[in-house]
Amino acid sequence: MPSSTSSSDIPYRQIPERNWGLVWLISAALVVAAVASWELKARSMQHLPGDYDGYTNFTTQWAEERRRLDEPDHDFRVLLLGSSRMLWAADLDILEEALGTRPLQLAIAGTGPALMLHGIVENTDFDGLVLIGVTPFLFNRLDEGFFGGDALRWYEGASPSEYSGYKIHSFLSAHLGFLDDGFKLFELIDHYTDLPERDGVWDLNAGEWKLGHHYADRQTDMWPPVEVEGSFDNEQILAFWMVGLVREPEPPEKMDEMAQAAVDFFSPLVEKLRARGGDIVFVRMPSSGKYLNHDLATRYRDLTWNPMAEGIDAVWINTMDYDELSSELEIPEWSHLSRRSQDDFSRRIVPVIERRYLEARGRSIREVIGAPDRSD
Amino acid sequence: MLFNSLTFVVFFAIVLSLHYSPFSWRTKKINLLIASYLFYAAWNPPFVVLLWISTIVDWFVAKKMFLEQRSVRRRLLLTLSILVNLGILGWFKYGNFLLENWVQLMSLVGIEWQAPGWDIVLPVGISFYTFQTMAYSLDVYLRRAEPSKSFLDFSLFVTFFPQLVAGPIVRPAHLIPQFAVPHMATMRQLGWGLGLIVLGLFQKVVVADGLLSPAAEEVFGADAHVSFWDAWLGTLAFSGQIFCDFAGYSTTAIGVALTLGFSLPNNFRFPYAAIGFSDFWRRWHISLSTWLRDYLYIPLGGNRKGPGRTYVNLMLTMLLGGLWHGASWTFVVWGGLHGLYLSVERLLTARFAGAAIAKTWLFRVWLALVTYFFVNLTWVFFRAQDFGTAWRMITSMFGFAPQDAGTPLPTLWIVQVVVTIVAMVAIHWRMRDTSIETVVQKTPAWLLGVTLAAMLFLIIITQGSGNAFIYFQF
Repeated sequence: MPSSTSSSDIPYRQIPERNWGLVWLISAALVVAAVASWELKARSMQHLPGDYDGYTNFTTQWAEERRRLDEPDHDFRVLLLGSSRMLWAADLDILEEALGTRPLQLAIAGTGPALMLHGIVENTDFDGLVLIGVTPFLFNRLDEGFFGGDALRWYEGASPSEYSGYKIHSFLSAHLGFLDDGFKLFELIDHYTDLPERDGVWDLNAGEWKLGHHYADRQTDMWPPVEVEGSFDNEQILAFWMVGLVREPEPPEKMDEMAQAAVDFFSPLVEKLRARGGDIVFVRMPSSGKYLNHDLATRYRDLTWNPMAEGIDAVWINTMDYDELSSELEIPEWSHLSRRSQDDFSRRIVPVIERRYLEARGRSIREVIGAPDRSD
Repeated sequence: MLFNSLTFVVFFAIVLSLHYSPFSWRTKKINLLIASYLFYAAWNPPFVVLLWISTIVDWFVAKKMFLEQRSVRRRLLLTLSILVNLGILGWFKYGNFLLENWVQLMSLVGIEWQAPGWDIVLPVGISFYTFQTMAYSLDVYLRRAEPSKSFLDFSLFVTFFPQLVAGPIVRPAHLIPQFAVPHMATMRQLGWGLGLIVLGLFQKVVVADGLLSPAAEEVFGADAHVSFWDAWLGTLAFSGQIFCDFAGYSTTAIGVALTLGFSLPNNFRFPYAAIGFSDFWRRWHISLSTWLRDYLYIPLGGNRKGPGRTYVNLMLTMLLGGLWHGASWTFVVWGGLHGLYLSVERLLTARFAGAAIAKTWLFRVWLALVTYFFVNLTWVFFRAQDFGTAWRMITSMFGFAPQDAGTPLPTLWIVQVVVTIVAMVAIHWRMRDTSIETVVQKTPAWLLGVTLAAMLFLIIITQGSGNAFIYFQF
């Protein structure tokens, strides 16, 4: 009987007799040269080091920032919630200067703020100001949306290998531009190849490719090529938006339902936050072009915004009522602010919030943002 | 932990460094064992306990079985090992499946039973390592091998990280003896091992995930009929994806083991050049098919109890082989179809093997096409989430798609699938009677360097999204 230690059953592996040292020397030299060239190409196309890709920003980085609220000695007084419009509209440095405190950016692209606000009000002791960006229709999604599920999964705990992979990737992304998700080989092939399609087939070029630069602490700026109206990248984004915009608009009954569902969901959260000294300001985020036309055509303001504003006891600011917060801004792809307009919006919104808050609540917003006594 | 991850790159670099540091052989084995536990724990730390349970139970059961002469007690000990291993497998992998089917069965007889909401997490690779440790107990019981004298060597056999979570399933007599003596790779083994790692990751990251999976997902994710062409393209894409994904993993595992000085068996041998279904199963997931042959088919009687019983044994083996892949009736159907193919082939071979036409090259080509065709039909059941999807796909593939059937595939993906599949099948046919080592042996060093560089560069710039290997779910 063979012993478990006998060597007779060990599978023999043929090993090719080659000069492997030379093989790997050639290979390594070529790979280094190729990767260096690829990195240069990426940077020439505005894929830069320090830019974390969108998916990482919306999920893993969101989770990291969200966990900061769970630390017992955090000193955050202002939170930013909402969807991508809030991400692209907020310059955190400018807001910090205007508010006297640096906001924590917790907006997630393609996702409504409902579940995130619920988690914050129910599971933290936060008692400051929450600025919620309202993107029509997306705001009314009370579910996980496009990225909320993954964001919450990361927040609730990733596996050790997932977390270490994220950390290593973040370190490398700080130095290498080609690691941007939008610069993956097959992403590039999908977006730059234009072939005739059969009827009914979705257009690969119409996929959203790259819309922003995402930095540490989730500061997000519009990607420069998209800012150029009529450019290839700008047109790709518009084509992507059109996929959603050509859908049948919601009927009025449905919009009533959405408004009521939002009132039922958000009202208790606002009350609970106010009871411990905090508050919420809802800001309808600026839009232009076909997005604005869509909102006007569906009468979002009449059928959804106004009922919500009447039903939820919070401060409501509709940027359409302020030229400096809407028509005077650059929104190159109808939905998100350019870098320059991000700065303008961040500077202009704070005085508007202060004014509206004083009118609505009869007190200064500084009383909410200022740190209360925590000696207990 | 995935091979195609940055974490693994760092992990592997550390493991290699420790393995080639001036430690004693025993220390190096302990390092490998700890590394293997960390490799598994990186996915979900508490599930390392399952590895410990398998290790401890089978270690003691095998030792006692070896010394025990009374057959009743030996059988009892074997039963203990099988119960523990299959019990772990059954609970974690089939618990929800059994519960759901029980609920459906009850409702068929008019009993509405509310099942408890079990949220059972499937431990990664559980089907692989439980089969591997059961082979150890079975070999000792059948007196094919003696138990290992070293608990450390046996523990390492159970958990050896290159093949822990997705094979190849290695026999105890293949691996344990290698741990008994110091193993370090020669320069040739190191060079070729690294080459296999690059080849395996290229198959997985670039071919399977990059070129083929988008089309497969688009077609199999459709909730309505797709056109004849899209159905076939999606299925062919999946046939390529699953091969490159799984063979890519095995190749990487073999390469990783080789860089440490260890030898793992081949798990694939260009299966899409198979001529007949028996030939297919001598080329596809070889470690599983031989395991099923040696530990299920032959103990059931194999082909020694007459033709009728042979067909029953074949069907049973393949049905269970299908169920091994997943807790779903679609996997059972996949296995059943292969059992049916093998049975029919056996029947026809018995009747017509002597016919002159069977020896012609034209017949062999025809049989190869028939084999590829029918294997692709089985992939529909393997990939489909449910029978509704499978039925829609099969009807479309046979030309019964409705007029308004969807055409979801963009032209670019069609081109990618066609070019990749044609290339893959051509390579399989070119390589069917040789080995990659033989081809590499004849290739100039400069060309090898350029080829490896190209593959490595493509892996780096494809980046991947850390998609798990398909067989991690088994």
